[in-house]
Amino acid sequence: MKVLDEYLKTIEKELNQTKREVKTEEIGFVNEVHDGVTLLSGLQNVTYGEIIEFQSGSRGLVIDLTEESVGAIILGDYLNIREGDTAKATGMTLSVPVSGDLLGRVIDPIGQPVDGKNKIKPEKFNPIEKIAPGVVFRKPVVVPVQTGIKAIDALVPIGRGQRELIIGDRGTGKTTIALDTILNQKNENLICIYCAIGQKRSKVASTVELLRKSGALEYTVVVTASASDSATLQYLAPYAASAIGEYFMEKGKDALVVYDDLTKHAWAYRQISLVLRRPAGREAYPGDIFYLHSRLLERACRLNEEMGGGSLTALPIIETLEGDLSAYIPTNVISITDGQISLETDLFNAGVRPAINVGLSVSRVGANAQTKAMKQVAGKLKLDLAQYRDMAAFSQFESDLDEQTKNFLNRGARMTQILKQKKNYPYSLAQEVVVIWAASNGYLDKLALDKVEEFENKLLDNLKTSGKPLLDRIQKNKKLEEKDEQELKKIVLDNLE
Amino acid sequence: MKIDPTIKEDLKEYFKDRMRLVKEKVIITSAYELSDQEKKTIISSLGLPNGKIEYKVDTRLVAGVIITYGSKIIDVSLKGQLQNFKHILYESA
Repeated sequence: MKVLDEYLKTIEKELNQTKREVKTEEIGFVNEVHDGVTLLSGLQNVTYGEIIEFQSGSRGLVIDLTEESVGAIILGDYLNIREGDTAKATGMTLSVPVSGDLLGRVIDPIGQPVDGKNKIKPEKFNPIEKIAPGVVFRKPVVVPVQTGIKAIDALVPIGRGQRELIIGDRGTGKTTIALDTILNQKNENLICIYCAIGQKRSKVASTVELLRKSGALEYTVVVTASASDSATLQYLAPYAASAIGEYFMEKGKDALVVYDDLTKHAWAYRQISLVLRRPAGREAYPGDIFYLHSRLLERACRLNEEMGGGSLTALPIIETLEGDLSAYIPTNVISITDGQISLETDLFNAGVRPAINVGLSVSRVGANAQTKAMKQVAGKLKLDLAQYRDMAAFSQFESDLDEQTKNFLNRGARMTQILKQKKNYPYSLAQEVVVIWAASNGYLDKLALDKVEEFENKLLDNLKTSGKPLLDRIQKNKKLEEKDEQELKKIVLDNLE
Repeated sequence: MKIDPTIKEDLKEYFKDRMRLVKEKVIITSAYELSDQEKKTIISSLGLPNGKIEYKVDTRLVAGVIITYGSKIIDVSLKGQLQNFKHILYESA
């Protein structure tokens, strides 16, 4: 009863208020409706990046202010907007709801769930567009992202806060590398965000299913703007994913965002720009296409302790045509990121999977983040592979080779063999170290090439049972000590027989 | 049709002038025909210039008025209030 009384009192108070707040609002009229874009008149005092609300209830985002008209991209359904409709300025900028509830969910770029579950309960709203943290708020990248892929962790290591591009033709396993990395983050305290841009819904569904089955969905957020969504949503998706990542980063956590892929993002932005009649440049992309990606990827960083010490790692994906790395968008993104993992069709078809071209792949900051154990074994591996590449090209024309060259070729072939890895089967750090150690110390030199995989499986099986203490020790200490190597040598030799 | 470049600038100026007139126009839309007394109250309370005001009737407003001048709008109609309410309910649900 008491509650009811209080309610009545409030209502009475409201009714007695003679002064009512009257708000002046900005309105405009729809002049043109294009594919996901409208041009309006009016809206004299609207700001860039402001949300406007159409008569039909749809919302738009102002991204073009000219002398006579205002250009806005429509968020969601634009079929119910007609010429002459009014649009109201709301005075808000576009933001996504963020909270811990997002983990395990599939949402669209404006924060609406698309997995058929409840609405996201927001803790706060993070603006989609945000200026990246300044220089003084950052610190160097020193903590590794354990991808669980031997070739990457050994040769192109990725650090938390780094931006590493995954580039290659279609069907070379770009998404697989990104997904394997996500799968390997169980118990690694790294929150993952998978942003699907312009992909088939069936592919997104199978990705989500894979994550769910492997128990990876509980620390993952999926942001999707599929091929059937408007170009507007595809354009906004990576920024929304980044905003979600920043929420976790600002809480002092580590987050990883996969943008799959930025080629389609550039296409979506090109479409919007052309419809807005902005001048077209090379390959019909607008002039600010570089800034489109640089401002997105610049948001990846490692914050210093005063800012909470969180990090945001970015793994953008770019699809090339015929392996052409010097096309417009690939060169742009290569220059923005801190290195790239280059995948090749020829290698893929030759059975080298992941099809990483070791010569073209680099990581500009990751070496500082590599664990001691990996550094110990990877140094030699890198050298061996580099020599192998030199010799292999050179020796194609020679029939009789000297002993040393033969040895290089032999070692290199086994190294290449040992870096092959099955899909969705990430390794732990200790497993990677052990396998690479065995190869780079020459224990496999006498083994037939087709027996390498068999040996690897046998070795890992044995280590899982009898060598468990050793594996645990390497995993914990993150380095190889003298006695570890002695023990390892014994186990490897046992397995070779 | 091609426009002679010599008169293009003048034409632009003329259209701008016309646009300015439209922009300055005040439209008051109400749910029913306003009495002179009511009109006077609205005009004096908002400090609008008398004369260049267009009155419209739209029964869909149910009650209250909407005042439009240029790209600005003051919505004190029941319809607007209800729409706002609906919005708040949807957002908080």
